[in-house]
Amino acid sequence: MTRSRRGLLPRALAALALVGLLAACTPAANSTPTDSSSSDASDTLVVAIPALGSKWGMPDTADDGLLPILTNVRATLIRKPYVETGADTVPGQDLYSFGPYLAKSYDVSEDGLTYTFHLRDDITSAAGNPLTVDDVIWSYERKFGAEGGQTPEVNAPAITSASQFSKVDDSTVAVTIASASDGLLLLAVMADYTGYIYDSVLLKEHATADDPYALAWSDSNPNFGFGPYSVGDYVAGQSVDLVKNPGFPSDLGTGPNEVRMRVIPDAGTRFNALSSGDVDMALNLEPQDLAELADSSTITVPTAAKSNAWLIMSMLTNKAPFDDTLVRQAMSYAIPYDQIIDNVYFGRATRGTGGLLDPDAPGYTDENLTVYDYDPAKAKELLAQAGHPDGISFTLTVDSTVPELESAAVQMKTAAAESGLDISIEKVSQSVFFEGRGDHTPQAFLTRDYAISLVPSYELRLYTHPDSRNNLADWTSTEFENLVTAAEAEPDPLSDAAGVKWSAAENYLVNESPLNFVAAIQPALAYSSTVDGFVWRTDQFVDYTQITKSK
Amino acid sequence: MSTETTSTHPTGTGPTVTDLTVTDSPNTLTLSATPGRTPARRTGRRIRPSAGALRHAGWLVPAAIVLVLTLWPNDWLPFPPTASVGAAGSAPDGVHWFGTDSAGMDVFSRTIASFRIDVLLGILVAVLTTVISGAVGVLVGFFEGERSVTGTITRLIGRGLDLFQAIPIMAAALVAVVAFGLSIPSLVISLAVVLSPAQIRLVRTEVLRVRELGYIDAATIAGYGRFRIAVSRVLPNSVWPLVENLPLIFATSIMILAALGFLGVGLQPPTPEWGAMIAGGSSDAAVGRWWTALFPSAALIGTVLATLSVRDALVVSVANRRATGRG
Repeated sequence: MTRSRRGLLPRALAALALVGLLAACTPAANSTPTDSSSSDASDTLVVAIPALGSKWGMPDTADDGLLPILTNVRATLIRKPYVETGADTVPGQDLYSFGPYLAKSYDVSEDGLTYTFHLRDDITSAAGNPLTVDDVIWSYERKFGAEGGQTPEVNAPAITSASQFSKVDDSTVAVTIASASDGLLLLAVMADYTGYIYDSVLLKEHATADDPYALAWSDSNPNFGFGPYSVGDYVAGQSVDLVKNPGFPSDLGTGPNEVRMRVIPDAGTRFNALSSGDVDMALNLEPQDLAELADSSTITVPTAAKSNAWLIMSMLTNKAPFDDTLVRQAMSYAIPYDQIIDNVYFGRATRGTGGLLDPDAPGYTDENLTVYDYDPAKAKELLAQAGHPDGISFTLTVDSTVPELESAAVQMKTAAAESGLDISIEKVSQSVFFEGRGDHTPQAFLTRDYAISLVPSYELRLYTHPDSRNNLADWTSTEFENLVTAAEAEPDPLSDAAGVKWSAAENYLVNESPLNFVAAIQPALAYSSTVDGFVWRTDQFVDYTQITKSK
Repeated sequence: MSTETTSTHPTGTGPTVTDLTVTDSPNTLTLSATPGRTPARRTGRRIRPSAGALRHAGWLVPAAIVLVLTLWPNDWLPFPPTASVGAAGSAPDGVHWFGTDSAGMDVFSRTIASFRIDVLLGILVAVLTTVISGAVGVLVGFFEGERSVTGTITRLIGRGLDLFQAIPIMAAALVAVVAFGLSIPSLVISLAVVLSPAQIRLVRTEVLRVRELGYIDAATIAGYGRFRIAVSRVLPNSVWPLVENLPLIFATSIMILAALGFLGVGLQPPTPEWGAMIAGGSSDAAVGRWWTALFPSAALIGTVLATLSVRDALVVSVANRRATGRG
């Protein structure tokens, strides 16, 4: 076999072309959507999203990839009102008062044990069925009766059974609670995603003896809600169009007539699509790209007055080395907080209090709260106390679909080495990551997560519920449980007296350090300057009824 | 009428048939064997670098550079290749010659450090593939025609390899990596398994030719066992295509390794490896941060081209030798 001596240059060119082709054709690079927002009327919004799930029919939620859509196709009886937060920040939610939504009002009995909700009579579902009390009661029967729902866990102790709901009349439903102090939690969970109300008439039509809640049917038929939008064209994994639900009153919100959501997996390509005007809004952009857009005159990067989205390091307490409190504390002193905020989030994150309770909550106090700063000497000292004078090694697991987690892990690895903590980074696929997270198999992992309801009881129990897949560190403590219960017993959960008790529970959790709340992260989206109305929500979703788009 | 036939024993081992005489009586066969005399000495066909190849030693310069970079100690790099040492995503400057990536790691240091990982893995895969292919290819090619249990087994192996070869290499590599894990030993074994079938076919084809040559019959007549013949006679005369292809296998394994890293199933971060660097850098490149993908891409391309230059030098050398028959 002979070879041309002149083949080197053509092969070099071919190799370069091949690399370019690979870069263009692999999952890391994607084409931008073909429908251009610039040619649409101002009543159409085009949004670039990173992924789209396929299962709509879980008992109370849906696939992770579909969650951002749910707040627009489903609705709750009440909601947290939107309020202005300052000249330089986008409006947010009032976390501790609740206003009308599907219910026009609600009353509280004198003893604080019965909450009565009065439904609007002018709302119909996407299928055209009017909202009734039967829908409310059946929805909660579904949430508590079907397997796999999160409602029983995150609604406790306010709602523990669908039997707490009773029909007063065709448009009035009452909910009874065991303790008046559970009232705030009741309202909070009914205003968030576990409070969605479903079209029971439609779902019952497709129920079977084996599937009394029509979970199978609803998996691929998403329009069983009473939300402002319904799902129009939907291609699993690629695109979904939201169209106005004519049965949803306009006084509750309008927004564009149509919202076209297009999947662009690569963050850089989403960024380019927004910059070029191919889309009006892009979600889940990289922090560095958001920072670079801050001074753009054509693109808006929203800043929220507060954020409940956390970068969390979970240190699993069910195995070494983090079954030892001293080791967990040592790790907390070995995290380079400021470096992560600067190098990973480019300033679009804050350290916060180091705890997870909302510092703006009435009655809140951070007195005696342990604050971890980067202190490698202190970390080394704690390791020595724990019997590891030469340091320890462990594996830190991250989700491969969230690049910032890998970057943060590298920062931690570099900084923690000074303390004798040798970190091996394990990057796994999203499905493997969430399976491990739920099964509590890693030694430690980084994740981005948030508590949707920011009432103290919800926040403190979300990540500490025994045997829960949300108990990120698989940590339980009788003393912590007692502290939370004592706080929950206070008649007014937002009083100063309650604040002292919530603080005691928070301080105990922070001190034990199964979880480290590394940084509170700003919203990771941007939109064209022709778009307005974005409101920060605790569920991190975009309420498209608030969005306006000028031509 | 007589015909003179020479055998091809580049290693010069064992008895050698140098003459085959056919008389007017076709039933008379005269053989003469000259122990100790090898065809290689008689014909001068020992394979050594030709003058032509030596003239093209310049082709080996890129490979020499790759070798130097592969052996370059990490301690001599400006920054540790697995540590965050600067502001994330900064452009090339006087401190970070190739800039930094999204984790603040120095791209220059990581690009150079990747040589050791990728080239070492490539060498291991190439050697293991060659060993596996040579052994299996000879056995399959030599015994598949026999009506015996051994023949049946080798035929089944051959058909199995044909089926396996129908699977796209990247798909097979992905499955193998997922099955065996992401450590260096498992990656080497996975890639060697995936790359072997084509090489086995190559060897098998050569064996099918070689086993029909006269000295094989002579060895059989001389009483050598089949396995001994396969190892001592057939193997040395059949693996040269493998040797010629060894640089190509090396280059292919590096590209597959890079592709696996690009797809997120390569070595774990922050191990410096070109594929993973290109994967992370491709998203950056889309937004104008070109340096995180460009430099590892250039290193990958340069290494592959350097390898192909070595192969070219080797092939030209052999081609010249076969054409001229000169040593």
